[in-house]
Amino acid sequence: MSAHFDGFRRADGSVGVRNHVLVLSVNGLTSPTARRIGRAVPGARVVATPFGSGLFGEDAALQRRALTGFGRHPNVAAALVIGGTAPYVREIADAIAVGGKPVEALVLDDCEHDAITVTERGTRIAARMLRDASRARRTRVDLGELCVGVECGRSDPSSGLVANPLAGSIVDALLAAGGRAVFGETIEWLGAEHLLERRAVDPGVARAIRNAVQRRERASVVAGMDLLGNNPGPTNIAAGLSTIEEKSLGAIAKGGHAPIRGVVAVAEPLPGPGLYLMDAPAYAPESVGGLVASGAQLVLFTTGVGNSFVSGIAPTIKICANPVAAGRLREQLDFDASAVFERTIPLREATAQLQDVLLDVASGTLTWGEVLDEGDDVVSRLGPAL
Amino acid sequence: MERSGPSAPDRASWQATALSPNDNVAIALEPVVAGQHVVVSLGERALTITSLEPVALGHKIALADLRPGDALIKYGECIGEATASIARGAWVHIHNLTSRRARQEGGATSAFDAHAYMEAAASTLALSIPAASQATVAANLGRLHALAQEVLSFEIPQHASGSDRDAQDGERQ
Repeated sequence: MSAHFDGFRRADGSVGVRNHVLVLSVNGLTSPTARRIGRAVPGARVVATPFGSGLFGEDAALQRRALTGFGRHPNVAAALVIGGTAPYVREIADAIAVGGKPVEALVLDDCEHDAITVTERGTRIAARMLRDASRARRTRVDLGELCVGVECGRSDPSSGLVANPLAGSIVDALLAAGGRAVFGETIEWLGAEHLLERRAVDPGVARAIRNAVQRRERASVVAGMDLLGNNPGPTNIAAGLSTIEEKSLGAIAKGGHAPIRGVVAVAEPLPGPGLYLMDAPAYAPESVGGLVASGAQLVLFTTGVGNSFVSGIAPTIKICANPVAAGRLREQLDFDASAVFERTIPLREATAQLQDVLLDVASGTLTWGEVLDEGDDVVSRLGPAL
Repeated sequence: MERSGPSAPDRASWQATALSPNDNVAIALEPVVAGQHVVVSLGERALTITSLEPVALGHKIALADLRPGDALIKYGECIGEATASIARGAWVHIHNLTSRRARQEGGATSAFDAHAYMEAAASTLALSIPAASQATVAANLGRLHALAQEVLSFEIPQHASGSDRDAQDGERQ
């Protein structure tokens, strides 16, 4: 199997597996305008937050970090940043441009507060960016240039038995090649945190894992919430998952076997090669948004009964080992691992096949989520706003 | 879709699998009917059990007789405890298995406690804002209490301890 793919080398040295032009609305006021620009320039991708100046504390920091992360993402060739007022828009545009990426900013205050003016100027800018970006060509790069986010959604017992260990085997191979990987969904470490702690590179990392789980566990208790029916949710339960411990023990298999180098916050860039955990919400849009904002060029997304959610910025490879779901969801699942569940091929054979699919998608082959334009990229909210 | 297998060889001769030799539940790899002799793969070895009831694909079947409180072991790890006697061959799911984690104090799940929740939220937020703003947080918490009383139309005890609240709940019931 080949351990290379064809990617877009960026000015800052990173490698994109896609060549997107991003229209990034950093305030809710300009988000409808961003979507209108996106419709006018169909090749552009839109990321738009509904929030704005009322955020404070960790929420404000998270919005900044995530929006900047989407803009700086290696799959983004150029970014048009739009928003309400100058200082915030400039700050994010400047942070995105640090590595030499083409970035332009449009501010509502400088356009007579007129969304139509922003639309007109933004459409011209996005159109020019898209034409310029199309001049980029792919070159051959090492597997180790990849950072992969790993996610599971609408899991069932086949996830923990096959699809997650399969994703974990890919993570192991990627890390051995010098790459990076990250997975989150903290509540799905609950009941398996002792196994993750044992893999921590030092006691500080082990403590961070334990603390992250305890915070979520405490939050659910304080909120008077029974995890049964929430996580595992009704879909998980119907499929055969019974407790959060059972779900977690299956879920962590998607991270493979490598040492855990650290715990990062939602959307925090990974400090270096290796495996990291992200202390983050488990719901797929929030979780995937955090992984992608931290720099994951690709997402490996395992599912049991099916889950259509994908990132718009990072191609999201859907992996499923449930034979019933795999037979039904032919235009959703990018990799059918049901032959492993049905005991007709061993896991290592499926691992080699999945690595080929990963390199193929990294080189430009579309995922079903891309073909059907399912992509969305969102930022979590944590607490109240002013 | 990329198929992960060429033309299939003979399907293996087991219908359920356990991932660790210590497991006392196995996963059904195909639908199981009542009274079926189910071959369970335990990696190196296999055992046969008789199913007592139908077990759907992916669901769990008990490999041993279990008493209430016994740990259920899957992947070689505890996934919860039995809430009833479970016979070897029985279906194991949320009707006879419960989590040992994130348990509500006092057992059953309580109703949403807005007071405790807001205090926890405020203390979480206070971690990430400067000390000078602590007074603002306290003031806002007071206003949130007032708002909750107005919107939800019920009294939130400002400084009631957990036991006080429990006592009041008891009186209401």
